[in-house]
This record gives sequence, structure tokens and C-alpha cells, in this order.
Amino acid sequence: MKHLNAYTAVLCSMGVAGFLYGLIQFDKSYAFIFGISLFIIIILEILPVRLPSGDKYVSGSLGFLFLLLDGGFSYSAIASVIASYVYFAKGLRTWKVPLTPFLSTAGMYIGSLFASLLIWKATHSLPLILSVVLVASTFEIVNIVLLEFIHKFVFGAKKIFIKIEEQLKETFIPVLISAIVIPKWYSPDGYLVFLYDMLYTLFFFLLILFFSQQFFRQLEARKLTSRAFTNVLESRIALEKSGHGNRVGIICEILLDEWQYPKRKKQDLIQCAIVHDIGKSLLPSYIFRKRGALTISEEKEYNTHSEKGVELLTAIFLNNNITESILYHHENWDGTGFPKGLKGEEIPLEARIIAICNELDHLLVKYNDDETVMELLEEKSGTLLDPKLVGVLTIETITHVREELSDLLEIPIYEKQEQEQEVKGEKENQLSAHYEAKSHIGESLVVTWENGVYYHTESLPFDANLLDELVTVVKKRQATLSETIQEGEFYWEVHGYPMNLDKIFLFVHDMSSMIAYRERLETKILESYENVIHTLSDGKISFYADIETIEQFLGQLQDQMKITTTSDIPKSRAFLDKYIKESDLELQPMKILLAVSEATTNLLKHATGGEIFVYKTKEKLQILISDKGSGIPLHEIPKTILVSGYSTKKSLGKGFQLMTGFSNGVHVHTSSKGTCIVLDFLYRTEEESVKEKTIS
Amino acid sequence: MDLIVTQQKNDSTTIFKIKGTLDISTTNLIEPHLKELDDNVRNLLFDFSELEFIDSTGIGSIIDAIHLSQEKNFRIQFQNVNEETEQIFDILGLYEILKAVQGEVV
Repeated sequence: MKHLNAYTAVLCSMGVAGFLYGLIQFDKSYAFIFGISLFIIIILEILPVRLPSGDKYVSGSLGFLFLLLDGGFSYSAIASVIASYVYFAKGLRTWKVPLTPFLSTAGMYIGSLFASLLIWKATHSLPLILSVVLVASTFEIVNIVLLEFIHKFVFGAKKIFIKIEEQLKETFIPVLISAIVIPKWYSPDGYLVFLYDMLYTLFFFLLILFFSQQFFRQLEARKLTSRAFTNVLESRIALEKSGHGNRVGIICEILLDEWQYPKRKKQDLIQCAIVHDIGKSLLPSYIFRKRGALTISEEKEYNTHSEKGVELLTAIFLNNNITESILYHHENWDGTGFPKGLKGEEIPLEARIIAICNELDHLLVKYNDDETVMELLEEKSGTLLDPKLVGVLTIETITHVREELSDLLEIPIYEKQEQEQEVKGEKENQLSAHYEAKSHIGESLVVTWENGVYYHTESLPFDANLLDELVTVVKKRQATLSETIQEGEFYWEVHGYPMNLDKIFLFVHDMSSMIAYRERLETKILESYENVIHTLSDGKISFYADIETIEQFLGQLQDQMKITTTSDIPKSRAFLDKYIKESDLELQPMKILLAVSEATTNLLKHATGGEIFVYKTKEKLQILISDKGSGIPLHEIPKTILVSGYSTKKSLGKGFQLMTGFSNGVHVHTSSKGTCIVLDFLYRTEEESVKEKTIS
Repeated sequence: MDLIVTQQKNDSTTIFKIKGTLDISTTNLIEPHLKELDDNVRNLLFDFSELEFIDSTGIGSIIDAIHLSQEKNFRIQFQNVNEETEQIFDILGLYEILKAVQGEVV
């Protein structure tokens, strides 16, 4: 940015001219008062008083004005140039201050002081205090005007004097202080009294300064605390929600300036904006993790969050107006909101403000384009949002807000991880993350089919053509029918209701979450069976919730054979005979064949057929019998495996008892995709074979 | 081929000579023999001397015979049961069932 232009050149030359004039006019006899005044001015410039509005009150002007009235223009001119230099040197932490901004600032002071001098001369006859008020006001106002032109000529602001009202209000405190302090200093009672008064004032200034610093430290701490709490609560609710409160707080801070909201109430409202959703932390978290629309009762529960938030916050904020802003932040301008359905200006201004900030954050997160955000915001103006407040906002405001939020709008780490998982194709993880907790109720929507065309398909998660078959049948039969549609890991149930020959309503319900939930539940039950069965069978039967564990301990595949009819049962024994004879096994061949026969017979009784595999490891022969049937029903598993004589079919129900008795180990896995049994038969150890030979 | 059941009648005693395999593939072969039993039969004798293989399904059909014996009031006896088969009968509780039905095992 180029600082030097015609305007700043004029200011700079005013600064230089004022300084030179001051040096020429300098009278040594005034050096003492000048010195002390300058000392105080410098202290005040270095240590600005922070106002609750967030602005800094640099009280150096107090000293310039005193010098102007007491010593004359020349002294105040020198002091203002030195003060400007100190101000820049301190702000930039270097003695080499950029010349143009420094001299321009000095020039602005000198211009303001000159205007004040004219007023001082003109009002000399008035009472001192009134005169001081006029002088100080002139100084502040001229300064504001000169500063606005800096904004225009240096920073290229299109409109100036936008916040003039607010700025004029802000001159109140400096003018008031000047009116109190300057007449006190300005007394012709001699140096000592002056020195005393000066130091006395300085002492109070430093005291105020100290307390204001403390106050701001507390204020900052409170802000940080509520931010941290909000973050924690948000991440508990749902990870993707975290950061919302803090962003709304920042948005609020920026927009309050646009709306010229009174600065003294500003901080409290920003606090409210940060914690406006705190009531959500008292709701069950599945509500926030749910995909799709909430049920009516869930919605009712959700809507209590603004009331619950207020309950929490009345303890923190004693101001009722402020907590009301949270209670009503979901009220809509047209009266369709909650909790009370207030309309228009019945809704407290603060609540309307938070509603806009809240909406703006949602839009900024969702859309990257500021024009779209502005359009959508305007769309909601008058229905959901206060049109007057929205009317003040411009695209520039939105862009400014987005810049301020740039760090916070980035994708948080956990979402990145989720995306990476998707890339890895870990769909299961993705699903389970979605269906955490009670969120097993899926999304529903209604699609209409009329004369061959589908309507309301915007949010249909799959291609509408997949509904064709159902539509054709419903149309033909004119009856209510349903169909399941599957795509990858996702399942939908679709019900078709014929209205007439040309129109069908299609109710689509997402079942994936329900199915995933059921599968998770089943896995948990199966896992608990692992322990139960192992313990109750004295370790003879091992049950596995997943097939992979079984696959891991299989040895070298030797042979395999399909079993489809009963005549394959004796054939399978003949098939195995060879492997039994060639390996020296602990158990008698008859028993082994019996155990296998039980397993293969089960396969025919309970499934339509399967296959038998022979594996060998160093210690044992493994016979794997598997089928692709519907598996042992979940609730039948312990009885089937453990209870002797239990059978659902016409049989003895002693299969597992024989398998356990006539093998060295039984391993079972069963699921809706089939059942798999592995029977272990140990080789005889050398010792045993020797013993046998000796006996025979 | 897998199972041959030969019937032999001596007065009120019928002998079923079981030859081959008695499992799911052959149980249907023994059923007709049981159905055709005379009402006046007092003893049914299973001769297992040529039994090659029996499993729980096969034993299931012997238990069917035991149930029939209750209805028609005759006694069941086994003969020539080899050691292995006897072990299976024992494990599956066949003798216990028989004992419960007719008080003793012959």
C-alpha cells in the first residue's frame, strides 16, 4: 500500500511545519512545565487504557490540550510530534519508524490542535470548564474527520463516515476527562502546585490503567474458558459440530460493528453467541449423530435445547436480556420458530442477531462462494431472519467474515481421517461411525411417480431407475407392494402405494443403519458365545465369531470333495479313509469317520449341501466341513452345540456330542452366510506308537 | 449295495440281519422293514455281525424301532455288536433308552 499521496503529503508538511514553528517559538522559561507535560504524555501514549468495547483510549491528547491552553500552540505542536513518534516506535517496536504514517499522524494532531486553538480563542470569555469542553470536542471531532480521510485516500475505503454516530459517542469519555483534568492543571498557582496536580492525576491514571489491565485479563480468561467449554461440549455432541460456537462468536463480533450495536453490551452478547448451543450438551447425543430427519419426538427434544441452555446460563450471566437472546435464538421472523413462536420485533434484538450469526456460520461452512452465501442469507431474510439486520450486510462483510474465520473453517483433523478411511475403502468403519449409539433409525423420503416421470427425487440416494420394476408391478396390480434395493453396503426398503393408474407414491426408507446395527449386535452376541461355549465344553469346542480366525490356523490343503446328496455321505468316508490310513492318528479310524459323518450329515439336514476339505499340519489332520446355508440361528447356537439331545430336526441331536467325543478338538463358526466346522485329529506321538507295537 | 437288511422269521421272533452301512444314506431302507412287521411278533433281533458303519442317524432308526416295540408290545434284542459299535451305542445312550422301555437289555 502506498502511503504517500497528496493528502498525506499535506498532513506531513503540516507536521513538519508545526514542529519547526514550535522549535522556533520555544522559550526556555517554560521548559519545566513542558518537560513534565511531555513526560506524562509519553507515559499515556505508551500505556493506553483499554475500554470495554475493545478499543484503546490513548489519553495523550489530554497533555497536548493542556499545553495548548497553558503554554500555547508551539509547545503542544512539539509535544504532539514527539508523542506520535513514541506511539509508532512503541507499536512497531523499532526506532526507525516509517516516515509518512508518523508525520501524517503528527500532522493530524497539529491540524486538530490548530482548530482547537481557534475555538479556545473564540470561547475565552466563557467559563473555563465550558471552554475546555468545546476545545476538547473540537480536537476529537477534527481528528475523526482527518482520520476518515486517511481511510479514504490511503486505505481506499469507498464510503466514509459510516460509523460516525458511534465515533461521536466515543468522544464522550476523552472530552469528559479533559473537562475534569485540564482546568485542574490549568491554574496559575506556581510550579509546585502544578507538579503536585500533575503527579496526582498521573497516579490515578496509572491506577485506572492497572485495574483495566486486570479487568481485561479476566474478560479474556472468561472468553477463553467459555470457548474451551463450548469446544468440549460440541465434540461430545458430534465431532463435525465442533468449532461452531467459536465461529459464531467471531461472526457476532464482526457483525455487531456493522449494526453499530452498543459497545458496552457487546462483550456479553459475544459470550452468548459462543455458548448459544450449550443446551445441546444436555440432549442425548444420538440426536446429533442421526442421519436424516428427526422423528417428531426427537424434534421436540431437540427444540428444548434453547431452554436448557438458558437454565445453564442464568447462573453465568445475571443479565436477563442476554440469556433471552439464547432462549429465543431459534425464533423465526415470521413466527414459525421455537420455543414460543414469537414474531418480528417481539423477538429480542439479541436473539435475532444470534440467529443471523448462527445461519451465517452454517452457510459459510457449506458454501465456498460468498455470493451464494449472501443470496441464501437474503432468501431467509423476512421469513427466518430480521430483514433490517440482513439488509445492512453486504458481500464485502461476508468476505471479511470468511477471512477472519479462515483458520477455523478448515476441515478439522477427524474429518480428514474419515475421508482417508473412505479412500481406503473401509466402508465398515464408515458405517459404524455413522450409526453410533441409537442412531439406527434411518432416513425416509417420499418419491412420486406420475405418467412415467419421477418427482421429488432430489434427495433420493440412488438412481430412480431402480424403482422401475416396483412401479411396473404396483401399477399393474394396483396394490401396495414393497421391495428392497441394495447398493454396496446400503439397503433401502421401498413401499409403493398406487393412487390411481397414473400415479404412485413411493415411500423410501434407509435400512442400512438398521441392518448395520443388527449386525453389530449379532457380532457382540457371537463374541460372548465364544467364551460361554469354550468354558461349558471344557475347552473341547471352540466357537469363533469370525471365519478369519479359523482360516488362520488351517494347515496345508490336501484335498476336497463336494457333498450334495445323502449318497455322498458314505462316499465322503471312503474319500477320507485314504488320509486317515496314511497318517498315524491317535483315534481309531471308525471313530474319526463317525465324527466326520455327524458333521456332514448335519450339513445335509440343515443346509442344501456343502464341501469337505482335508488339511494337514505338523501335529494334526484337520477336516473342515462347510456349507453355505443360513447358519445356526443366533439364539439356537448354545443349545445346538452344548445341549445333548437338542435338535430342531427329526434326529437324535447328539451330533456335537459325538464330534467332541470322537475328535481331538472341534472348531465352529456360523453366520447367516453359512456354517463351518473343523475337526482336529492328532497324530500319534512316537511314544504311543511304540507302546502299541509292544503290546501287540 | 450300502445296506442290505435280511429278514428271518422263527415263530414269534423276527431277525433283522444288518449288512453294510447304517447312516443318513440308508435309513430309508430299514423303515419299510419296520412297517411290514407282523402284529404277532414278540421278539425283534438285530444282528449286527456284518454292520460296517453306524452313526447317530442310523441309531436314530433303531430308536424308531424301540418306539414301535412299545406300541406293538414286543421285545428288542441286539446280537454280535462289536466293541466299537457298542461304544457308540453307549455314548448315545441307546442301552439306557432300551432299559427304560423294557426294563432290561438282552
